[in-house]
Amino acid sequence: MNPTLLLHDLRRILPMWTALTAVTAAYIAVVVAMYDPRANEGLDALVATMPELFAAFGMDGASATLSGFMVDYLYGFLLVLLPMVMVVAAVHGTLIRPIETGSMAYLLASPHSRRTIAGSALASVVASSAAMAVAVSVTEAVCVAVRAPGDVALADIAAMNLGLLALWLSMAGVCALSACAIGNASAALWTGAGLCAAQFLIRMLAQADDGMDVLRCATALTLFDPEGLAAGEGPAVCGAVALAVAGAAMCVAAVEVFRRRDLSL
Amino acid sequence: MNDGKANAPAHAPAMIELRGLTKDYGHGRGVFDLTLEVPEGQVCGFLGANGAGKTVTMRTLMGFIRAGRGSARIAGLDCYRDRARIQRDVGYLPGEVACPAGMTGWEFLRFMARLKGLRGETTMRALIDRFELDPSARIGRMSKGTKQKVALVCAFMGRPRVLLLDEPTSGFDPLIQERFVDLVREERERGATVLLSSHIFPEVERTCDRVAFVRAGRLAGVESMDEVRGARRRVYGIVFADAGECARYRAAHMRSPHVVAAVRGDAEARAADGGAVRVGSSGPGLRAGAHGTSGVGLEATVVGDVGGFIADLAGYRVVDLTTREQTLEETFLHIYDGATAGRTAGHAGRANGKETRR
Repeated sequence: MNPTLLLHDLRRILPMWTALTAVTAAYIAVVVAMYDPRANEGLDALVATMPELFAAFGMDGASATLSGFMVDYLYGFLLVLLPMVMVVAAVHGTLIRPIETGSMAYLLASPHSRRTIAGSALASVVASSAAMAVAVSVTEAVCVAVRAPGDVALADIAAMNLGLLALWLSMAGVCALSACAIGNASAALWTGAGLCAAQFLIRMLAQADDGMDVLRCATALTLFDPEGLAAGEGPAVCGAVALAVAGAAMCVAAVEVFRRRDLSL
Repeated sequence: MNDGKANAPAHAPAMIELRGLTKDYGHGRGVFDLTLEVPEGQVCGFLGANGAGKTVTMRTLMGFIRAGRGSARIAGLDCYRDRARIQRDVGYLPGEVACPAGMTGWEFLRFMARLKGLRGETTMRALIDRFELDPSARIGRMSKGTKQKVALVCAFMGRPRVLLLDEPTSGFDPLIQERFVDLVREERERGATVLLSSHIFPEVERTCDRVAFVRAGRLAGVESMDEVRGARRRVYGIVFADAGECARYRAAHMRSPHVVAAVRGDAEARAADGGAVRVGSSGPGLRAGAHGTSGVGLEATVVGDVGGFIADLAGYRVVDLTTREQTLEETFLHIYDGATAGRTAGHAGRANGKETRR
């Protein structure tokens, strides 16, 4: 990793990171503000009108605590989808687009190995994901402190968001591998984004209908269990570690593929 | 015809060395069995039509692509395996300038200077002044020529030992081209080794010591610049008073066996592009190949005594006479006349990258 390259890549990601983090923070504030234990019966009644649809988004309406409410209404949908957009865009901006436009030629014409160049790009994606996880944690902590002080422990928030970061890293790995392995820029972008989106859609299907529960085995999102992480359950921790390891392995594979491939720049 | 090795001066070690370099992209695209040496301190032109394999060779030298067979070395190092190490001594100007559009010229140049580990901005600023570059604008809003200047400053600002320049002046006006020529000459004086890929003959003529011709991915030969200059001819466009006069001239200059051979060759050219019909001509003090696209006009390629050609022309009713430099393709065909020309005459009409493998 090269500090100059890392800063250069972080600057590329910054505008989009800022916009998506701001939107995510706003959603967190709105969702936490919506939590009202006395109004839960009304919300449950609403969920009961379209249970499959709400279940598809991970909202089963049975949350009696703020922690469960946040898991239902944030970790099942918004905190997966918005960061996924950020990760896809970051990989596109640091790896796919420079190859597509030819500006990668200037980086390769510097006395740094391809491993350093691709490693710096992926380090910027990981760093921006980690920064987003920190921003999400801080926003949640502040919102909880304002709305229901003491209802959710900071340690629980940290545990859930570490697991969330592991999930984002696995997405980054998928996108990075497709970016480095596929020669066509559009195909590289949509393969990575499509695989991440497919994971999400498969989980929606599995949650919407008990008959399709088997589909849980076909998506890596099953390994992300925020409630289990907050409770410190072993399987949930193992799932998060597996996601992080898979993400790291795919990033390493992506760098190796990048190092060996022909680049007609 | 000489190969790359034969022309390398024995006293200087090869700074750039291609040995049997092959990169086959199928359908005749790529480079095939390319062998070339550029000794240290020499400026070597790398000439060929679009699609001839110049850029593939440059990319191989930069380590962007791996050779299918053979090897590419700079300063004795393998261009693919040791690419990062090689870049310390190489300045590269890509054929397609693609500096990051979102950065200003200053941001990009300073970023690249940091990346290359350069200290100070003296050389960078001198080049900026020399090429009258305003690097304050965003690169995405710059004209093609200005972007090219940014890329050029980037390539030269590290004062590298080796310069790989892929069609360096394609976006420049004549004044800046002149300054570029001066810069390359200064770099040669400094001791830099330069491989300059181009299809613009004058640019190569004024900067290079030697010139390598590549055609359909294969090295056609390497010549000193003096030899190339000596072989170069002028092409005269002649418009006669009427079609009959034109036909008379054509018939009068189709008598020698040499001319007959030329006509045969050009029959293929017409089949390929549906256009020009060439005739050859030969006479005292001149040897000419001519081709015309209408009944009253034709082009004559003249070598040797131009006075003899004009004196001969005085016997005809001519209403207009124009002249142009030979194209690179035409120069190439004349240099490698004979067996090579016979094989490649059919390709001559397929200019601008429509070549096929021999």
